[in-house]
Amino acid sequence: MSEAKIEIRDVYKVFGPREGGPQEARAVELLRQGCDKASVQAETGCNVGLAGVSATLAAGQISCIMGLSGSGKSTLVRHLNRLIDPSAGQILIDGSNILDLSMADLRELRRHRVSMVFQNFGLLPHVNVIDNVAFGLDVRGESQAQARKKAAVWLERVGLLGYENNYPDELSGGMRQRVGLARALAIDADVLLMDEAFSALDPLIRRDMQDQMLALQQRLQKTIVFITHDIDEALRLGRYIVILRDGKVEQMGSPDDIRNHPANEYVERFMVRRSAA
Amino acid sequence: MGKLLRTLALASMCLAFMLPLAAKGQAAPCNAGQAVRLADLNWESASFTTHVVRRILASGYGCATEIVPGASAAIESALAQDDLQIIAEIWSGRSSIIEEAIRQGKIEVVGDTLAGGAEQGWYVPDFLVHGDAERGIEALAPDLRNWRDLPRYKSLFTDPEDPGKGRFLNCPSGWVCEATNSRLLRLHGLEEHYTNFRAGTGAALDAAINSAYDRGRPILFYYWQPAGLMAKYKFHRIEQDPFEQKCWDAIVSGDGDLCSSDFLRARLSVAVSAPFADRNPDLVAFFEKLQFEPALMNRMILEMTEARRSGEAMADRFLREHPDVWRAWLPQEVGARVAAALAPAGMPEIAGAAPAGHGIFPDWSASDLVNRQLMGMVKEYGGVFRRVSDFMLAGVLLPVERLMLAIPPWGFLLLVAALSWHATRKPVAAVLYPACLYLVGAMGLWDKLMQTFALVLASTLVSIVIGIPLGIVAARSRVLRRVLAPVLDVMQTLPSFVYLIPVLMLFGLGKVPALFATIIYAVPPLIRLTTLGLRQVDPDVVEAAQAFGVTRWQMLTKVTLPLARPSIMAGINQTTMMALAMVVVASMIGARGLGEDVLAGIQTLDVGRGLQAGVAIVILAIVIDRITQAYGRPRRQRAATSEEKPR
Ligand SMILES: Nc1ncnc2c1ncn2[C@@H]1O[C@H](COP(=O)(O)OP(=O)(O)OP(=O)(O)O)[C@@H](O)[C@H]1O
Ligand SMILES: [Mg+2]
Repeated sequence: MSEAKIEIRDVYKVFGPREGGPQEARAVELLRQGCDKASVQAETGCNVGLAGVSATLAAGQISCIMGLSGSGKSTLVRHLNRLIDPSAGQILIDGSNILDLSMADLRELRRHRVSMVFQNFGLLPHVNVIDNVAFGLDVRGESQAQARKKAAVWLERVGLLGYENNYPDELSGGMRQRVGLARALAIDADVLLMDEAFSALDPLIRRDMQDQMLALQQRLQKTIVFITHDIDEALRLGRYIVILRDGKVEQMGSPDDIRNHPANEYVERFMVRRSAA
Repeated sequence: MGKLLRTLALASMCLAFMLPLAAKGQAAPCNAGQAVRLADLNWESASFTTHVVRRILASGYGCATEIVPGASAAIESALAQDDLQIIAEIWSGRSSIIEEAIRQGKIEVVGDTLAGGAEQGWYVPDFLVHGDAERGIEALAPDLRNWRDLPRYKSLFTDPEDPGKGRFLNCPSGWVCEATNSRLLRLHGLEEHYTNFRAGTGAALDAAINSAYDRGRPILFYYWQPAGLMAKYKFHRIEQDPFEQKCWDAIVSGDGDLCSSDFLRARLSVAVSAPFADRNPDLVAFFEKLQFEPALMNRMILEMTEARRSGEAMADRFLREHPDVWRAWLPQEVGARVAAALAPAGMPEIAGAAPAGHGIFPDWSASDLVNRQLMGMVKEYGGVFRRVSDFMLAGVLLPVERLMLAIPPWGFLLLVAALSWHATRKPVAAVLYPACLYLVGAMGLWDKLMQTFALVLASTLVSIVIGIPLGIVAARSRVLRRVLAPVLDVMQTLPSFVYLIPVLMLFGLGKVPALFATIIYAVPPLIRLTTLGLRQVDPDVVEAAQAFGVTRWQMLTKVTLPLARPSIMAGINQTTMMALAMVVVASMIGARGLGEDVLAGIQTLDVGRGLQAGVAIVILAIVIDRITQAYGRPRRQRAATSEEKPR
């Protein structure tokens, strides 16, 4: 395996009734002692997002985080650019703990080093396609002309040339997500976070997008953290797969590892259902 | 229910039989047994006189009496139609309705209730001429005697809204004295030195004088005696030329050649409807004799204002303490009945001061405290508030108004056409809206329309400057939202008259308090809708923007504010509408414009004038409403397939 880009170290996240309240500390304590999600919730009233996740994701490849709804995938990936702060644990990117960053440094991280694509696209409805793609560049202070020029290049790469002046609500779901992808790629960050980026699309377009992703990745060699609840998608895209369940890691490894040596019954059930389909 | 009705019917029948019985002892039943209705007059001398008359009628002549409130024009018309029988204080030559009714024989005016008549004229505070050693005030105008001295001293009375001139505080439009003073000002050529400022309402006039006197500031105004204010403060009367009946008549009526004259010493009398006078010669005889000495009247008024006694309480007090005075007005046996009816002395004599209390409630009324605090504040910080006021005037109101006046009418109409087109993209709107405004101009209300529009525009601008930032902060802070919610509720529901007078005393009469009162009423929807709009922004979009490292400012300007725009525009639209709704109220404290006409229409029963101005307000409202609403709509036609959110 090549060098580590992202290290997640024993990260816990609980959602208490009050952020940072005493219940949260107590919930983390219980989780450490091995209590499960349901009993912690009953005991403290805290919702458990992550219950001690450790993983190392390598540079320049696609890592998939897989799990059923509610398993904590979105929560985990939002820790990587600190849209969510952990209740306990550390997150290292390029060897330094991003939890130590000041607000200004964090902004720099988000503007230059980590970008993100969202399941619901998160496009600005009042701004046309080209300016949506240029958003990240505009935010970090590049001139409008330059930002638009770069944005046009990325629009072309995702195949949306000619739609510059349309507004998001005039596009289909697949096209909107390509705008989201172009926006994320435009800031040219090393790390790309994709939270169920293709889940809202129908199977054919989804397949298309996966192919396009793989083609792009061939050229770009980015560190991509790809979230999905679909084992097929994970196996097809991922060079490395992390399977989550109730905020805990069930198994990590290459697609072959997981296919051939399921660590437990839970993972096995995924595989069986897949071969049945 | 049926039983109750029967009981009531029985009771009233008994009463009906008993009344004539009770009156048997007298010569004739008072007013043929019908209730005598007296007008409820709200200034002190009249209220006092009314209650003295009422008490004597009730206990001395066995009349059933009733007190009926109403605006002066309404009361006077009612008297002419015998819906009312008595107005206990009428000033000779003050009201055209009364004059007309006298000519037609519908009203009779009897008696001379104030010995020597009532003085009226132009006044300044006495300390201006003689200084006030006690308060450390120097005499600023020691030589101000005659009206001819006024131009020399105009800088003392500077009108903040028109700094080159002094301000002469006239009566509210619609009062007879307003026209009289205006003609006199013109006749004396004082108009080039003084603005003729109408107070809007009597309360506004009083408040302005009160506030100026308490702060030791100069003020030039019209006033009359006897009145509470005259008893409370020491004023100096500006001398006029000698009295000439012919000239005075011309000044009052406005007909014929004007010539200079002193004010008439008005005769105060009791006005009764003619049918009433015919029925009750004995009562008319009493009114003929009814008369107070000015000194006594002033003492009564002073006490009423100082101790905030009602006219009813003062009347009781007077009857008790001065039997020698009122016995002289009445036949022996009537006087005896009045005396017998007086409750034994020593009983609590404050009949009207404390409304019949329910035993379980302690007396926690805070009105005295508030009054004291307000007066204290006017004295202590009046200067600061005036500076704020001057700033608002010079910085916001006057520039906006000057701008409005600088645009010629056709330019303004073109501008409205262009705006309508730009906002709605409908040719009909671009023609119709200017046409509506043209109609207002054709009604002769163009200047007032511009004044009103300037006030609405200025208060909307200030509301935006205050409301949007506050809304933004409130959207973020839950604490502020919690605090703000009840405050905004109060601002919207508190009757505006409640804060109108305090605002006036602090900020002075005219446009600025009108502006503030308007803002208080108009800003809450903008704050609410800004907060609402910001909080309704799609959290997914906010999160996405966050992931790209926006600063707070960028989040606001690039994401949330643009997305909240429809809501904020709806807020601005609401604000302009509410500002327009305040136009009439604002005119009560001396703001010029369409509201002035509506108010004058009410005060003089000039229905046409009021209606016309009302229609103009509605037209202005519709035009502003349509244009601002159009700006709130999204610019682009939306595709039907906009919201498809799986989740
Ligand atoms: N803001 C929050 N407040 C409270 N609980 C939360 C919050 N966000 C997530 N959770 C809880 O954390 C757990 C994990 O949620 P998360 O959204 O990470 O799941 P997911 O794997 O992304 O599911 P999905 O596939 O449905 O998106 C869930 O139990 C959820 O209820
Ligand atoms: Mg999710």
